[in-house]
Parts: sequence; structure tokens; C-alpha cells
Amino acid sequence: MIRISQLSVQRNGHTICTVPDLTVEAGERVVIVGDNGAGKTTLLRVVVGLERDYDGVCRVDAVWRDIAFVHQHPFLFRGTVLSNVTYGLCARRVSRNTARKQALYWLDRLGVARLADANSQTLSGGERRRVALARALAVDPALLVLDEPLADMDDQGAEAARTVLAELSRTTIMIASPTQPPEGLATRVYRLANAAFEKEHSK
Amino acid sequence: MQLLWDGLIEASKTVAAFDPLVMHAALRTLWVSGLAVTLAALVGVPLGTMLARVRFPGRQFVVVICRGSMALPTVFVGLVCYSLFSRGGPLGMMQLIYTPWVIVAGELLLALPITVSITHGAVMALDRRVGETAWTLGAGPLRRWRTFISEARVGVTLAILTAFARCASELGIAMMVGGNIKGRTRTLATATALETGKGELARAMAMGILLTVIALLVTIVIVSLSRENRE
Repeated sequence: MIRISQLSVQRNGHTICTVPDLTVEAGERVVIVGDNGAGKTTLLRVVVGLERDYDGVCRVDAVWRDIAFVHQHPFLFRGTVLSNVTYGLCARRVSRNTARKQALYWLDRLGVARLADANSQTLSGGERRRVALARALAVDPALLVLDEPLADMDDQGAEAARTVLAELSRTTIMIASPTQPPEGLATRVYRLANAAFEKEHSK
Repeated sequence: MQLLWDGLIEASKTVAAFDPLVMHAALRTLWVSGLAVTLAALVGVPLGTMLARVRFPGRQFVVVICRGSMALPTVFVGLVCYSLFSRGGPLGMMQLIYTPWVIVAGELLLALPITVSITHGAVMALDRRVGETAWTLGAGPLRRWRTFISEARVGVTLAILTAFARCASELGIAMMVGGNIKGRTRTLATATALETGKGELARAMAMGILLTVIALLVTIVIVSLSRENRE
């Protein structure tokens, strides 16, 4: 699904991300850990296609509409939570009823169905993350790219999100926040530190 | 102060009596400026968004021209329109001179740089995650464009209101190509100028107050329509 070889991202003469070799097969769940500023988010942005100025090879066997990405600090559009979660489905011309059902399903799985009609701008940090995750999952992507999906969540929210993520059979590459260890989420864990990239362990 | 007070009283009497000349001028101001701003918004908002989101050679030059054109003197725009639409002009065969339609054309030229520039600024100021989130959720160009407008709605609303305020109160275009013809091309601004010239200062003040009230009412309507809780 993802093939990265000799990837290097430079900014103003500094190397901000280096990945010599990374292969993620279909169905795998890979977690990236590392220090702040190590280039983890940059790596995800390269995979998703938001970062195009790099050296090396990054090949993703999925079209852009089959990839869903959740930012480190998710952005929710103006409107209700439900309109946010159905956004990607409407972009794919899914019928309104089906989109609503799909959206409510994922909001319920993540424990925030009660917020469906709430104004998206009034949510807490943890609630925003769960809504953003529901929004990404609702489009049924082949590749899920998540930047610290469990950060800012309370225990209940993190537990709901962990359960959902652990049960996913789709290819996932995510960054784990320092306060939310990747146990139970990953088939493989990599560490990115000081622009060096190494495997920590496999499940 | 006495003049203002006399104007307020005169304005109240005029509205209460439904003075036909004043009412016609007020309605004409509303529809002429309203139409010009509507057309400017239909063209200018997409154009402003495109300028903010699409890179092309000369983009910065276009932005500078639009921003500079916001300060165009209305008499200059009126002069340009006169040269176009007068009998000897290239568009003279359309016979639009001294009709409300040529005022609409002139005010469109006045409003367009405003809607383009302020929309451009509003969309440029959006968080980059707006476009990234929309794109990664599979939104095509048209849906992303609608998302930018929605997220920048405060700025877009301001663009429309600013354009309307400039058009409703302008004098140069209406005078030069409209001719201030009673019952045909007289607007509140030109009527105010006429009454002032005649020495009817209270009446002129009344027209000015009416124009201000109209602008306020339009502002309230547009702001109410674009409020967040209207989702």
C-alpha cells in the first residue's frame, strides 16, 4: 500500500524528516512515535500528498479519495457536527439519508452521537478529535492517516477511539502522542528522532 | 444642529406622507444599487476566491489593480461610462445613456473591485487546514470553492455591504450618465444634491437621512441572513 524509499524533506537547508525505508502492506496498522519536531507530521503529510517538495520515493497505492487524513489539530467546518461528518460522503454524492446514517453510526461508535446537532465551534478539544475521526472513518477510506488521534481525549473518549482503531482492518498509519502509548493499536511501531527512522517493535 | 433636527422632522413627514418623488428615488436607489452589487458579488466573489487560491503569472499584479480600483473616483467611472455609452461611444447603439441601466453598469464597475479585493483578503486569511481538510475528504474544486466561501462568510458579507454602501451613496456616476431625470434616473444621492443646490437644506437632509436608514436596513438584513445560527 505504501512504499517509501530514501525520503528526505529539507526546509531552509535543514533536514526535517528522513526515512530510509518504510513499507506498509494493506491491512497493517503502523504507529510512528518520536520527539517533538522529529518530522512525524511531515512524514504523514508526504504520504497524504500535502507535502510535495521532497527527495526520494513515496508511492501510495491508493487514489486521493481513498485516503482520509486527520490533522494534529483537526479543523471542523462551520455548521453542525453532523454536517461535518457527512461532508466527505456528500462529496462522494452519497444520498443524504445514507450519509446521515453512516455519520451517526461512527459518531455513536466514538461516543459523541449526542453532539450530532451541536455547533462544531463549541466542542472541546477531545470532542473535536472524535468528530474529526468519525468524519474520516465515515468515508470508508482504504488508507487512514491519523496525526495523534488520541491526544486531548479524556479516558472515556480515548477508550472508545482505541477500541474503534484496534478493530479496523484497513491500512492505518498514525502518530501516537506521548501521553497515549500505542499498545494495542499497532502491528508495527517506528521511532522517528533526530531525523533518524528505526523500527521499535512489531506485534 | 438645527439643520439636522429640521432634516429629521422633514424626513419623518416625507416618509409618513409617502412623498412619491422621494419614494421613487429611494426605490430606484435600492434596485439600481442592489442589482449592481448582486452582479458584482456573482462575479467578484468567485474571482476573489480564485485569486486567493490559484497561482498564475501576474496574479499579484491583478490583486494590486483590484485593490487600487477600490478608490476609483465615481466621477471618473461616470466619465468612462459616458464615453462608452454616449451616442458617439462604442456602446452608444444600445441607447442606454440616461437610463437606470447605465447607472447599474457604472456601479457594477465601482462595486466589482470591492467584492474581489475584500473576498480575496478574507479567503487568503483562512486557515490552510480548510483547503487541506476539504481536499483530504475528497471534495472536488467546486465543493472546495463553496467551502472557502462558507468559511470566509464574514469577510464576504463585509465585501457585499461595503460595495452596497459605496454604490448607494455615489453621486458621480448617477449624475454623469443618469442625468438625474425626475421619475427615471433620480436616486436619493442625486436628489440630495439637487435639493441642496435649490437651497432646500432640510429636504436635502431628509434625503440624506433616508439614504442612511436604507443602508442600515440593508446591513441588518444581510447580516441576519449570514448569521451562524441560520445553518
